[in-house]
Amino acid sequence: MILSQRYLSAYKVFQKIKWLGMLLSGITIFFMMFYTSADVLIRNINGTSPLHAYEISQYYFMPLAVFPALAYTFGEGMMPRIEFVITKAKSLVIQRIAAISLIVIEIVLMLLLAVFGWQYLMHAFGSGMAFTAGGTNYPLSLVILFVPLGFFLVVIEMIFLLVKNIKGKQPSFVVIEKHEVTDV
Amino acid sequence: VSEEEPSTSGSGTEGGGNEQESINLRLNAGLSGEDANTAAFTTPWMETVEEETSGQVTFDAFFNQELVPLGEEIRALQDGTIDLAAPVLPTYNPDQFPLSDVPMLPLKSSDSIIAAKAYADLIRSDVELADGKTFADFEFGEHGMKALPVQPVSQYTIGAVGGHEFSDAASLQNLSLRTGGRAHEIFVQELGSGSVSMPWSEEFEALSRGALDGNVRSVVDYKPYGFDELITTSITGLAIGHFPLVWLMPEDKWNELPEDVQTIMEDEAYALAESTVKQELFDQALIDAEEAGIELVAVADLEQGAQDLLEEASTNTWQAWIDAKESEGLPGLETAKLWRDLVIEHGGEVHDPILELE
Amino acid sequence: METLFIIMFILLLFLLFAGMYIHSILLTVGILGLILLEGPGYITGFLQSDPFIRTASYSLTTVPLFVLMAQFIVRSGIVEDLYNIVYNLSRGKSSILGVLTILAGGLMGAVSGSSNASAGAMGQVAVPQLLKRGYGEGMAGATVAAAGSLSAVIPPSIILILWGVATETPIGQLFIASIIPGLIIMVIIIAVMLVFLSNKSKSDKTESLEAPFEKEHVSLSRTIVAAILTGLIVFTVFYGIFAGLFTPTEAGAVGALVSFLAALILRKVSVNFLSRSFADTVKLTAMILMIMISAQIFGRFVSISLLPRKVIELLSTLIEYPVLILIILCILYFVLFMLIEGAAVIIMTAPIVLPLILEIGTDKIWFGVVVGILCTLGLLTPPVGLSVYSVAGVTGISSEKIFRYALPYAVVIGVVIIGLLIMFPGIATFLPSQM
Ligand code: NA
Ligand code: NA
Repeated sequence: MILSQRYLSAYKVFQKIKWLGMLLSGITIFFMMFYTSADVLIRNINGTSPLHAYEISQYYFMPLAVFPALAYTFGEGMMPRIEFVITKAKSLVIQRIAAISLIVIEIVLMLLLAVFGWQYLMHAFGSGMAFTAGGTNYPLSLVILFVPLGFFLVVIEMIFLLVKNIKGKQPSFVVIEKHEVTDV
Repeated sequence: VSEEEPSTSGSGTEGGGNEQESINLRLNAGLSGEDANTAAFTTPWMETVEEETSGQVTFDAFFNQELVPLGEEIRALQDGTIDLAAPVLPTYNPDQFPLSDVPMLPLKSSDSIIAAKAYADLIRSDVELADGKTFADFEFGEHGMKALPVQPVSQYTIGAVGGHEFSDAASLQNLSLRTGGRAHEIFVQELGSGSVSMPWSEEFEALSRGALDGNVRSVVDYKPYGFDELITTSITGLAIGHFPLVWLMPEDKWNELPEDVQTIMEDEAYALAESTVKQELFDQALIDAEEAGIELVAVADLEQGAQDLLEEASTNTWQAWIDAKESEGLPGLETAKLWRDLVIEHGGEVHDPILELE
Repeated sequence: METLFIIMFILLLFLLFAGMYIHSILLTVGILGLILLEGPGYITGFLQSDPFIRTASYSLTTVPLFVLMAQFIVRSGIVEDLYNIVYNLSRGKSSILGVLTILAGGLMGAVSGSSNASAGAMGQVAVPQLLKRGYGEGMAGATVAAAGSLSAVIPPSIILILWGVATETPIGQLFIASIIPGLIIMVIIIAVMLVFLSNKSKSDKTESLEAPFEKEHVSLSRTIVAAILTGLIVFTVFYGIFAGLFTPTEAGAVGALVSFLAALILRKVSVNFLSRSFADTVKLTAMILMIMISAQIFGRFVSISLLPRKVIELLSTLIEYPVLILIILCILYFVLFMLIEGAAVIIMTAPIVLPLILEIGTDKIWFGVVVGILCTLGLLTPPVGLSVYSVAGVTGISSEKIFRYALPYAVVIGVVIIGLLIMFPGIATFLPSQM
């Protein structure tokens, strides 16, 4: 590979950040498992749901299960696409142009979502957006913070990918190919 | 096919083709197009406005959260995604509409028409609750919104599954009941039962498997949500409040409407507060419920202990609601008194201790 | 308007073939469409709130929870043991493993209301085993995706609940009505799989599918443990739902917890066990949600354009030919479900389709069953085939390979079952009429 040492070590740091995001989402889901089960148990014992598993799962656990892990998901090459031109086109130049344009569009889209997500966060923060469970208002801005953050990390992932595609000879949609590195 | 001039490069809906003449408004209804509230308000209101303006005003209506999810209406109105929302379900956003669940407080007796008239009066009330602000100022003016009344949902009651029998006080206790709002949550807890919240899609499953013992809802909701197949008994003559609905439009957009259009819209909304459609739907729902094999028990036929418990729980709910609002710095007491007086004025009844609220 | 749609459709196909991510295609077309229709200011509200609002959904908790459950089950080695036992008992017949997998999908359908969750969980559990027994990647993935889709037809089903409320069709009757069609679909999936299998063994003679049978060694104690633990998990979930201890949505959490306890008993739980389970669960969840968010924004464009309304209004001119209307509606739904996420399609079409089908005298319950099935098939078809992406996501098999088999599955299921339903409406209406 022609990727510089600086690029690789920077990406290594970024991978650690993504991995932490994955972990946060994973632990959230794991916790949601216990939390919902406890709610079921309490309801079967005394007929109430003081844990408010419905509201808490919906507004806290689900967003936390998704947004922190977005960049990790992209980085692992999870997002589906129909490979056609890029792998089938005869000319490598066409393949590379296609790959680079798609990544640029992806950066624009994710940047849009990050910016609008940020505006939503500001709105949530300014208006004190909240959900209610059992008469208590739970603020939403803390979880909404992960929306722009999640998309922003995807933008960074895509910039790494863009650099790789500009410098490299083969079009690629993952920074580190599966056979190169296994774990972080 | 399309009524306005479709320009390929895409201009907005308003001010597109023939200015001043036609006004095409994007209307959002959070409920299904098949819902009783749509039949009683949204559809006739749109039709009358289109008719009386001789087609000057037309609507593109989006139902069932197709365009705007429940709770996002204010933002969607503010940023112009939609022009008006009819209805908004204000209790879904207690953070934005903190006083709007006052109609959900339990009453001694009430019906659709009483609630509709009282609610219409609440919206146009000029009683200053605090700081020189009316109910509409507090709830809707705050967000820059013009509000018109929509008839609230017919009175709520308790229904149960699995052959449960309502008889004595104990039969109202230790049940796990699905509720859809803070006031009902308090009420159920005051009864000595458990309040569970879940979305309606879950509610159906939970009732069908017995994960819930019942729910607090209006009988008109039984059939649309499929509960008529599950609920085996329900109390009649009970009025655990009414679920409020409201028509909202941004004030600046409202002010841009020609005066005659404003008058038509406003008059029709208030005229619909007298509509008997909801009452008829409620009566029909009772007949349907009986045909579906649901045992209807009149509250007067419950043992005295059960009736006393219901009264006590109702009274405590009012007090708990008032205390909660006051502790948030809101005019809870004044709002509750205003609502109580309006309900009584239109023929409803409250339990005696609530008459003494001062 | 029509020109705009044709341009957008061409753009969509172009981006699809250019290899753009599915979610990006939906976002690009959705955003451009909205801007062209309503001006750039109009996307603000949707782009701000849709990602959060779409994700903050209680019913979607089944996706991470059922997948987490599958992770725990697979990483405990129980499934491997079970498949080995079946392999030994059937003396190496791979078709039996496939049939059992599909039956397991039907069983899963009786507890899960969401196809995406089931497909992800089944993909995790069954695909590696099918691959081991000589199934091709695409075939194994598509079979499991199809089996997972049964969750949306066999009750409980989130999509049928949604249709029921949107059209005021009794949900309990919709559920009962879709039992027989669900079972027929299961049989169709089995039949199609057997055809695929026999074609495969015909086409590659060299690498015979029926590899020489060599008994897999599974010790008696492992057999007993695997059987007991599997029984325990299945029993807990089934008993819990049918005895009313929890709802199908909550079953995801309880099932995952019981599977986790099983893994603890088997002493498989370690930091590595957890972090790998988390990584795989989270990747699938985030991927599904990212597509759902984008599909929502694409759906906004379709809604605002009012195109489905206009098409259906046009259909009402054919009122004298009810069967023709039904066939066109089915095709229209098939196409919409191909492109847009199921719930969004139902919400945008129900209010306009309902009066039409009532006018031509169609049974509401029957039609609800048909729409539910078409919705399920949409999960198997490109470009937005969430069940296929779920399986691809958990197994690492490319989605194209799976689509190559999933599309024929969808077409055969669709033509056979819808054909049967039109010819013999009783398949759907008989059971509810007995109530
Ligand atoms: Na199911
Ligand atoms: Na599809």
